[in-house]
Amino acid sequence: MYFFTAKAQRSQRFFLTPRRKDAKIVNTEPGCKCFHWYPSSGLCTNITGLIFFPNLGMNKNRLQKNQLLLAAPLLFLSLFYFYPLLKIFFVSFFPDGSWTNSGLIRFFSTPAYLRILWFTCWQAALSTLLTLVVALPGAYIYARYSFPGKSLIRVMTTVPFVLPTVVTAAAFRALLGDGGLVNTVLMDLFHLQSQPVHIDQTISFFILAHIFYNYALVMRIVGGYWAGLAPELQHAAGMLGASPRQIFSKITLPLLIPAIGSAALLIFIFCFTSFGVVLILGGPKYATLEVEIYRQSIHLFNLPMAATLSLIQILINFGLMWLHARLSQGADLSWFGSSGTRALRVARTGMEKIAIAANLGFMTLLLLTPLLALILRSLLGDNGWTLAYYRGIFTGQTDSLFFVPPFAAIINSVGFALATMLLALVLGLSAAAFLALPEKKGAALWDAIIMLPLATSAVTLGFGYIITLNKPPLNLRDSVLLVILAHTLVAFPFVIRSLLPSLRRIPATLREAAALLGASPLRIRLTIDLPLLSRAMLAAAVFAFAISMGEFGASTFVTRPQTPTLPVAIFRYLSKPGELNYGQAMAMSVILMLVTACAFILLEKLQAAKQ
Amino acid sequence: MKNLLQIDRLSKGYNGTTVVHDISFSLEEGQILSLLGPSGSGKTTLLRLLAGLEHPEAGRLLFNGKDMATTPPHKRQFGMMFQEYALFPHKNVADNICFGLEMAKWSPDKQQQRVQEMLTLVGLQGKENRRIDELSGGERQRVALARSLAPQPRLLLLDEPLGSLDRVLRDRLAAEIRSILKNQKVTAVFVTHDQTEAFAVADIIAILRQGRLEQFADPEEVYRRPKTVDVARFLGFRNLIDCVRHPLTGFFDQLPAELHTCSGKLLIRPEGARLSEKQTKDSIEPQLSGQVAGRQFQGQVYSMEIQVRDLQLHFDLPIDPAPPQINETISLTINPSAVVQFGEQAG
Repeated sequence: MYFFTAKAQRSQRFFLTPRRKDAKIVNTEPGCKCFHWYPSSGLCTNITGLIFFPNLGMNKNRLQKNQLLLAAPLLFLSLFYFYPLLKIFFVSFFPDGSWTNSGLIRFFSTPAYLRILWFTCWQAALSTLLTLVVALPGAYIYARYSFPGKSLIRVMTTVPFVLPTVVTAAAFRALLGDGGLVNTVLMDLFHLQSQPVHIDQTISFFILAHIFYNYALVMRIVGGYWAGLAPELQHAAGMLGASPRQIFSKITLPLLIPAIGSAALLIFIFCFTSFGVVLILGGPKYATLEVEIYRQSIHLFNLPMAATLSLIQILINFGLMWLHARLSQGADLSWFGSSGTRALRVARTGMEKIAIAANLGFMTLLLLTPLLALILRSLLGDNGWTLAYYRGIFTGQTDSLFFVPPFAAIINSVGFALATMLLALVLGLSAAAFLALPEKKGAALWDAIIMLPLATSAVTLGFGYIITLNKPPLNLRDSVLLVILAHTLVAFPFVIRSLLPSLRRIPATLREAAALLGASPLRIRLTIDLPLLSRAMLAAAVFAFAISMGEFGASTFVTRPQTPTLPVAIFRYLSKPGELNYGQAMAMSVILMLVTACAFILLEKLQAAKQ
Repeated sequence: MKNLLQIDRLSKGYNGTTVVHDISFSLEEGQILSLLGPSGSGKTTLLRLLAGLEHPEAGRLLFNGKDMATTPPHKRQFGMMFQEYALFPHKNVADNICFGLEMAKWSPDKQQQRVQEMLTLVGLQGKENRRIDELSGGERQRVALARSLAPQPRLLLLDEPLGSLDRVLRDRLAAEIRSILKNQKVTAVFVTHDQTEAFAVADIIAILRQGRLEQFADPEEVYRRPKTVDVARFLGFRNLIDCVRHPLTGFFDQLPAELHTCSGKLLIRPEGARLSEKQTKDSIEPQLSGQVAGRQFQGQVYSMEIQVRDLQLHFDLPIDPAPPQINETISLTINPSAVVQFGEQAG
């Protein structure tokens, strides 16, 4: 860190002189008082240290415009992300206004809490391991072979990954739960008195759901990377005398390790923060950190303990995300990796055909049957086929004070999703425009700051919201705005991830050419950037919409009883006894599944068209 | 000298289009062959067929008299240098060079010794521990060459090894590659689209066009006597004159008798002209006169565009004596050995 001495110059400009002679001299406008300058990142901080002024080594006008780009997203992140996070810290360490670390002490001295932490870790590790084992062969087939229906498979494997947790939970219930399809069929076939499959409310059930979720991640990351490996590398090894087996162990595998590591770490993170499926499929016996935060705050109303748990969760998450960022450095990995250019093989030998068929069969069994079961179950009543559950969505009979007809929940969710889409797009565009500036120092730091919400679990966010935004100056407790803000925060990193690559891909020479032809910076943005970005913007919008539609973790905290979102309504109906409630939960899940699936098929099409 | 590599009517196609069409030739031990042709001529596919990375649809490939059809690439003991080098990004310079030696199960001592030998050969001593992404383009090219040479391949295949380097580096490295290959007494096949590169490296040039072998000869023969109009065009020759319909009656009469029967096209190579001292009717050598339409100083030569009636010809003239200015009349004496005739053919 470099310290500057500021002295007033003519026309009230601050002229900053670095004490080190190798540092740059920075001229700034009044109001931008640059006191600490980090040469490695090109950042300046002002007195309060809260707002950063990037020093881009450009002229003042550019500098200010670029700051403006960042102003709205930073304000948003400060108010609705960093502030709640800070508050969690305060609630944990200053529950009564004075410092205490009793929360931490209680956590580490209570075996029950430690067991929760341990359980959270090993179920995540086990889920990761099992996912890798079943998905790596699939990744290989996907990377190397061309077979009929491949693009369909691509979409099919992605759908589970983007499915809302409640839908997944409902689908697995419909297939393997008590009263699920498998049990009903087996009982009918063999005239059994009791249900033969008892997987509901066990660990295996949600671990199965974790595998279902993350299969696509391995296929995409490892498969995409594998397909992108230059075939010349393998050919070169072959020409140097390496047998196919040696090529795999000495060239391909070492090159794949970063991709496998990245996928494994991401799966671990997702399973570590898994909330919905554990809550619904695991039942009250099992609690991960996330579920425990939910229980402590909603059921037991022990806010300091919930805050302590959140803090631990946040720290571990940040650590894991940091590790992931470190590991994927150098290896150019993207979540939705582009498919490579290599010539794909067509299966010729019997072994190849069997391997492909086995993998496709397994994929179908794992990924498709729960969804089919969900659809079937939503159409199957006590007396055979029925549309009663779907009709029930639109009529609905009141039997409780807080009854909200399912149809209203759908309307709520669509409304929230549209608002989220708009807000996330505006914020995402300006942040992405800033991040895409060429030759910016400290890009990694900004990237990290803006992607931070991704590393924070939705449950901690929701918890932070209810302890922060419930009193002036930001009293939003009774406002539907709370839901929109939470959803926007969750969608924000995804929107940026969709926009940024396209924005960066626009060659600087295009803008320079436009500028030399007389276009103003604003005109350049409107006539060059915007048209070239339209596809990515549409993708980002769809992404934000779908994320909002399916968001569950934060919504359980911030939705009001009278205006539930669709996932929250499904959760309520799933927890209520009775065939009709169960059926309606299934029907709503089908609707939600169709909406998200359509959204992501659209996304796939957009991405395919881009290449 | 015996035939080391023998190609017999080799063909290969993809999805119904023939990429390599009925090619035959043979190569002696220690020779450097250059496969020269424009992009899409099938030269890279032919190289990959030699390597065993592609399988021919028809024809045979004999090495040392043995049919290689059933030998997979890693058992052929051929070396290959790839276009973008295909250096292993997770290994350093020495480990890259050593890879082939490990595969051939050399003893660790001999591996060490050979790696050092190779580093010295390509001038990269002291850089054995560098990571690949720390190397410049020229250095990568050297590592790739060292890696493919290290296990003493029976045949070395090079796919546009200089393709991604800039002009100056290319010219230098082309000469260097030839001296290294000759020094190691390696038999090599070298793919390029650049004729100067081919002339600088090869003992023999095979010119390919649309998957067919157009000419197979040493560089000088290829330049002096391009076998077809297409080869001439590919080599950049522009003075192709129709033997039947042309405005150069007087000039044609002065040509040697064997050229009078020409019914296809006639080529006058650009360096085959000099300024006539004085236009004489009874000169033994053929004469041309016209008007200067373009005059470009290029260092060693003047590149001249000369308008002869409705025909524009191009010649390179020595800078001394200086040729006439634009629009002035010019008289040239043509060396008959710079005139090549082609039989009647399409194209």
